[in-house]
Amino acid sequence: MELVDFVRQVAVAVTTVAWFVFLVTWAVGWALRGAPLPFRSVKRVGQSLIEDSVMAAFWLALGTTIFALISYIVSSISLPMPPPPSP
Amino acid sequence: MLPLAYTLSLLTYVVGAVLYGSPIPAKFVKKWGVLMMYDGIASAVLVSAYGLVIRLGDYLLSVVNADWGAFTVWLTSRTGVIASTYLLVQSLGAMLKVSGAEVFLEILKHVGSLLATTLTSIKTIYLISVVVYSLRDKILAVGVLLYSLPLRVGRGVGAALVAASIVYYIGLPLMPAFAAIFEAPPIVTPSGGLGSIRGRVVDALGNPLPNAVVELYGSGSAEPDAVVVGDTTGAFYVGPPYDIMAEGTTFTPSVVFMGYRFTPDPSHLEVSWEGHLRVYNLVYAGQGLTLVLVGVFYIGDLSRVGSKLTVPLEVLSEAASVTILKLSSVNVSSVVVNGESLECSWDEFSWAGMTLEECYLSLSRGSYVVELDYLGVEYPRPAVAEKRYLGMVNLLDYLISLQVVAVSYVYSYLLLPSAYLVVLSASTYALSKFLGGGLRFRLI
Repeated sequence: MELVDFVRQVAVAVTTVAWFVFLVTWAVGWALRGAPLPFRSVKRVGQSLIEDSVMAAFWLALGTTIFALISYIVSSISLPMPPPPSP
Repeated sequence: MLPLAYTLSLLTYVVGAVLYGSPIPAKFVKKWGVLMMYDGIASAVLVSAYGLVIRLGDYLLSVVNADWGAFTVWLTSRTGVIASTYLLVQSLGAMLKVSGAEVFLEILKHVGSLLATTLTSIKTIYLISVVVYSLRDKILAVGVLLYSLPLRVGRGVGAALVAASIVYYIGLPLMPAFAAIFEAPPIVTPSGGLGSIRGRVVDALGNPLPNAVVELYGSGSAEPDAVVVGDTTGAFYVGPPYDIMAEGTTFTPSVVFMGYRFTPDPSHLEVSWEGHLRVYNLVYAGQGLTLVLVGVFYIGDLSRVGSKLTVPLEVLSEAASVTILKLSSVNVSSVVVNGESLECSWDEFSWAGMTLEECYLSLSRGSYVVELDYLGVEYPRPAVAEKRYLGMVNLLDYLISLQVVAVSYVYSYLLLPSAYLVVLSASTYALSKFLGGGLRFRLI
């Protein structure tokens, strides 16, 4: 199905983008945290950005792995669609 | 459809992760990210459970001991009952129209509209059940697909579709059980209750009397309740669609032929009746000539050669009489009794648009041979107004019972299923709430 392939490609592209976004977030977070600005709130935002990027990376890695695993299992079993109930 | 739904849930998850990990320090973006990751997992679980849900439906059906075959049979039998009653009402309406009792048509119209409503309701249930039964897996798949769309676009609708496909698939076959609880009185179909009287008028020798007038008297009535004219073979018919007669009504018949009134055998008719109405003191010779016998007779077979009719008679009583009855257009050239020629004095009278003549012969005990030489014509149909019978009281009772039946149909086949469908809809709503939809368009 072309639509399925398209959505899958979009998902792959988004995943690729996601890793870069995490990297950027992580860098921005450290930049804010290490910036020579004497504001507590800026440091706190930087800290939360670092935490979020790490957590998001972890969940993305876990999620894509599980999704891929399910796809793999389904395709290897190649479970057919259940037939419609016959009267 | 399912691979698409699965890929869509993956996409939802990934987009959620991007939002969660994005360097935008806004709270609602993070919240959306977490929500979308959760949605992605939920819809992925639902997609994987597709087969399980389908099988779960069948399993639950077998647990509650219901199946679709029995439900279809139940529905079909109900449809049959209502359709047959509807047809009965229709034909009754046609009868009433022919009989001229238009007053009752109003009641009948009311009954008919009740039945039509019920029939529509049954048809609706039938349609819903067919859709649910044949499209259940597709509805479920579409529901799952809508459910897995990113940003919770079709979550409410999807959850509702999934819930409906589960609830209705299990719930509809339970409708007979539900109806059986509340359907207290067993509904009887009125089986007509109308009858007819059909027969043939014959003379003493069993020959048919053409165009005989049959009058039916009810108990204690001086005027005939029904008057019909038989056909040329003596056959007559009183009954639907011209007459409305309840089964079991009794009538006293009377036969009028050539201006004379006779009491036939049997002397009482009970609806429904079919048979021969025999007039014992009459011999129809054919061609517009009749012998009316008063007294105790033995009659041999008539023999007819050319225009000559020979009737062997034996008078068994002390005194008897024979009346020769003919249409005035029938030309009798000679009347011979035991070889002696008789001069008949023809007395003329008219009845029902025809002119008739009669000749009276007085006989004593003994054997006779009556020979008549005549040239006749076919006996015409008398100009007698037919009267149709309408059992008013019976008909009213019958119509009222029909109305009661129709109302009970409305209760059993319209109200009960509607209530049940409402229950099913409520269950669907609850289940879709549980699945996270709740039929509301939710934005967070």
